[in-house]
Amino acid sequence: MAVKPRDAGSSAQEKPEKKTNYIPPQIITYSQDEVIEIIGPALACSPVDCGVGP
Amino acid sequence: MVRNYFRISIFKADSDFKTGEIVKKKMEGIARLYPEHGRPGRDSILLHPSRRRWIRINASAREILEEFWKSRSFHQTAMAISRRHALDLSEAARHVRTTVSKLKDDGFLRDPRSRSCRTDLNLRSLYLQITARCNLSCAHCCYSCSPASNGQLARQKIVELIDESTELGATSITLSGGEPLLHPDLRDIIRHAASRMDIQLTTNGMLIDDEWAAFLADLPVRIQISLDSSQKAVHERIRGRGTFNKTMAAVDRLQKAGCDKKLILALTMMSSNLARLDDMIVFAEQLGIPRLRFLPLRQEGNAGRNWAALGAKAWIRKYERFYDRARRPARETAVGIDVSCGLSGFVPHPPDIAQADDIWCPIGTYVVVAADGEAYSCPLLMTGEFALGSVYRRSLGVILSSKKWQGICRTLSIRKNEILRCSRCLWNNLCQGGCMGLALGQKGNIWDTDVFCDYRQKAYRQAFQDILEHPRPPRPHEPN
Repeated sequence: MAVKPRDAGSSAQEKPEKKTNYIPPQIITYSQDEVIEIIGPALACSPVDCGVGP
Repeated sequence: MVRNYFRISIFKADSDFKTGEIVKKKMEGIARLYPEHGRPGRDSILLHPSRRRWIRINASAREILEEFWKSRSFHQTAMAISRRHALDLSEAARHVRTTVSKLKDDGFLRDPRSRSCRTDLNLRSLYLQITARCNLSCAHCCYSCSPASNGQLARQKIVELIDESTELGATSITLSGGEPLLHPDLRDIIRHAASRMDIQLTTNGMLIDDEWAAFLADLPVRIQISLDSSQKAVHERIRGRGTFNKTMAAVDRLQKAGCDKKLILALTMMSSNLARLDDMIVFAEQLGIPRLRFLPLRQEGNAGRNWAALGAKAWIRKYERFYDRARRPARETAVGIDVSCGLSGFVPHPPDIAQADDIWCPIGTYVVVAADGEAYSCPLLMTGEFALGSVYRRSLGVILSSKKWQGICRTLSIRKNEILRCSRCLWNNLCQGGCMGLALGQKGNIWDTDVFCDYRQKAYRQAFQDILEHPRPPRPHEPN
């Protein structure tokens, strides 16, 4: 489903949340090993080898 | 169109921040978010607008992006965050700035219209069908090879192809067939290639005796052996009576000769073996085989003619059940060997291993030469429409610089945006339209996705849900 932007004027009515609930923004990148650890090794294709061709 | 995009216009400098003036489109990002609806306190996956990249962001970072999405300026965004969370404006502004800075560092703020394209000559591998002749006549063979098949590449031509391809940058070669051991000059060919390239030999193994095993053990040759079941009866129903023991004897000989680390087992999935694919993983592991490949049945050649008998009925659902099991997390399966399950386009790798052009499909990095000398860009695109010319009439260099070659490479790059279904898909930069060779075989058209498109979408959602449910703590260089 598409996410619709909130009404641009809605911010004035937003209630401040408790400061303790706020976690500063975090952006996390993963290594290949970390992803394989989470979702499994049985990937069909890899960047160096075709998983489909003979 | 996918509507869960956000767009960011970034201030050019701090002075702009002070005036609140946007320098429009100096830097811009359009990306997509999973899940589509953010939830308080929950992380999201931010997918790159045009590349095979993604990052995980927490709810606060998503909130900042969604403020930008409302076409808010940097200052307005900082104000909104400050007001909503009762933060000092300077602190909120710092959070906005560091978020944008990180997105920029990760390459998420570039021209969203720029698209990766594989056009430069980037030959890495040569795939030779050195003979069309085979000692078996398998009902599922996509090339219709048999003992009666004619055509083989001449030794001198193969030597020339090896030499020319290495000059063009190739570092590996696959020797295939038919059954390549039926080529009378195979040893000479391997010796010639061995000093120049890594070799992969695809064989049914039935002709590998002690002498062959010793020969292969001394050279940089990976040996891919076709074994369609761990059960003799099933394998022989597919490949013929007496084939299982001969193939297993070849595996044993090769292991005893010292090839154990160089062995690959390849299984083509079809009705007669689909029920016990998991057994094959255990079997390969017990044998000490380091790598196992499950290959999808292709609806071409003998397989196309025997499609109904090979179990086309409900095959997609059966494949998908296997893929479901194959995709179980490593912590649950503890599979000790490298397994490739043959689901094209399921490549949720993170950015750090992406190729320069970001395309997972190897088309454009290898050239395929059929036993009759005709060159192709892929073993799955060996039809007249995609023929690139005979190597007996044109050099590899000419073939690889031809408009047809470049057109196929360009097609590879643009399919994900040109196929309507893909252009609307959240995962199109990861899947990239799936395998165009499979699409051609299954639907007769490369401008379509293959039949596993729906399943892949489900698999991606599950994979990223798994990632979101198993948080990794930020590394030292990832502070907020």
